[in-house]
Amino acid sequence: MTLFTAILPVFVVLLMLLTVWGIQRTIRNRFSRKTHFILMGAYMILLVAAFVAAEVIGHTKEMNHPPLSSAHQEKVDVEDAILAGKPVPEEELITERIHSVDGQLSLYHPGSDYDSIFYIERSKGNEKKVIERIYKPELTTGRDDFPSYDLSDYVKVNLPEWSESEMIFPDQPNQKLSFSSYYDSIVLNQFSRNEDSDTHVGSTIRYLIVHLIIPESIVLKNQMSPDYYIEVTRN
Amino acid sequence: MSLTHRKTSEVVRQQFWFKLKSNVAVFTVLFALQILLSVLMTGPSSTSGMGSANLELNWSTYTNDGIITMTLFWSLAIGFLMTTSGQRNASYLYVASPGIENMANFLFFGAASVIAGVTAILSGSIMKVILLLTKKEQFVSDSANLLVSPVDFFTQLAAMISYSFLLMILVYTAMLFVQMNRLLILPIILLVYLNTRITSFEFFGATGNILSFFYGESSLWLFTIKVTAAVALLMVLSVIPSKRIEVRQA
Repeated sequence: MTLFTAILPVFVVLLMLLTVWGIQRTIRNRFSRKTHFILMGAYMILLVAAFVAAEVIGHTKEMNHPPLSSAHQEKVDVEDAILAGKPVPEEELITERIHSVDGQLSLYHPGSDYDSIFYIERSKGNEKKVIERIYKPELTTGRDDFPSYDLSDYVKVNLPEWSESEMIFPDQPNQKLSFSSYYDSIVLNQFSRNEDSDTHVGSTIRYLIVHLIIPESIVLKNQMSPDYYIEVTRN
Repeated sequence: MSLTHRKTSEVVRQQFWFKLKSNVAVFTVLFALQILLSVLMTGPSSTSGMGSANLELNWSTYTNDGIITMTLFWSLAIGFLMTTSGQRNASYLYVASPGIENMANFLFFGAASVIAGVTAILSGSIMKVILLLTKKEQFVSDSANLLVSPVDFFTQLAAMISYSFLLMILVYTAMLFVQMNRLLILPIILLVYLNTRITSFEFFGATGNILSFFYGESSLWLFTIKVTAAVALLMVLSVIPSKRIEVRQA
């Protein structure tokens, strides 16, 4: 620790004292008492007007807030649920589609970006129908032990394109999300600190998940790189 | 009883109003600084970003930390200003004992801390309005709105007023001791220095944190009790030096 950092707190306090004292002496002699009262009154009116405006606009805009999840909220791991054959909550699902296939199916993922993961499950039966479930990519701010904003609904998705014999996974749209947040000074949040702070610290992203249930009777020509898919085996 | 005999409460009230009117400039200074910081602090206090192959997320945060900190510094300066010789000499206008002088000062601190606390909390609204009107991106407010969370709003107000009042009385009492004996400035500076450097202390076997005694308290009731006890202690302590530097020996 240098001498400068050691005396800095005392120096800052003294500097602030001198500043307020100096300004106060200067303006006391420059303005009449009446002028001070007029300035104070004008400021009070400005504060009340700003307060009412902030409350009204803020309350209106709050309706469009991204949803805030509470700390330690239990979330279902979609990938684990698919592998274990457990049900996935409906709110995680973007869409479920059934496609008719004429005996052979080719899967393409021409892009090189890691923006999705496929779970390919072979089902027993002779039906010519493929079930496709698409789960939304997850985007949240905050850390696990704090409340966080769920921005998943803001992420745009290009769905796979299907024909009778092939599925092509298109490039996902390039997207830039910008958010601004205002929070009250941490000094004032000591009575509600654990609930309100750090909603924006850190972020989590989960790729788009596509779960395909393909009957064994359909011949599969998987042309995707192994990095993009996981085969689900059921006992 | 003399016709000119006046009640203590009457003199205290008169002195209090006199102090409020003669020190009106300090409130103008506070308001000017609050406006200045509200406008200057419309830049983000922090920004964070993340990205994947196709997705980029930018998050900018804004806070009224600067206004709150400045208001607390102002409170500190007010405690100091009320012990200056100019303030003390002004009390010669009234026939007053040290007790009356102190009581009038405490009332002034009470009024000043309410004004500082209320304006500091409300001045955050100016920032919010500027941000709501100027930011094109999605705006998220984690602020304690009166309409949405009135309890949080009023506890913030109570905390701000309490901290302002505590700081004013703390500095006032410390400066009275310094005026009684100039050498006492050294242990006071040492205490300020140690408070900023030492994070914990041991008291009768219990380890605590100096700042967390007030700031770490999450219960509003316990916080109120602590602040009230500290203020009462400081009020009693301030009587000792003020007897030595009084305006008129009773």
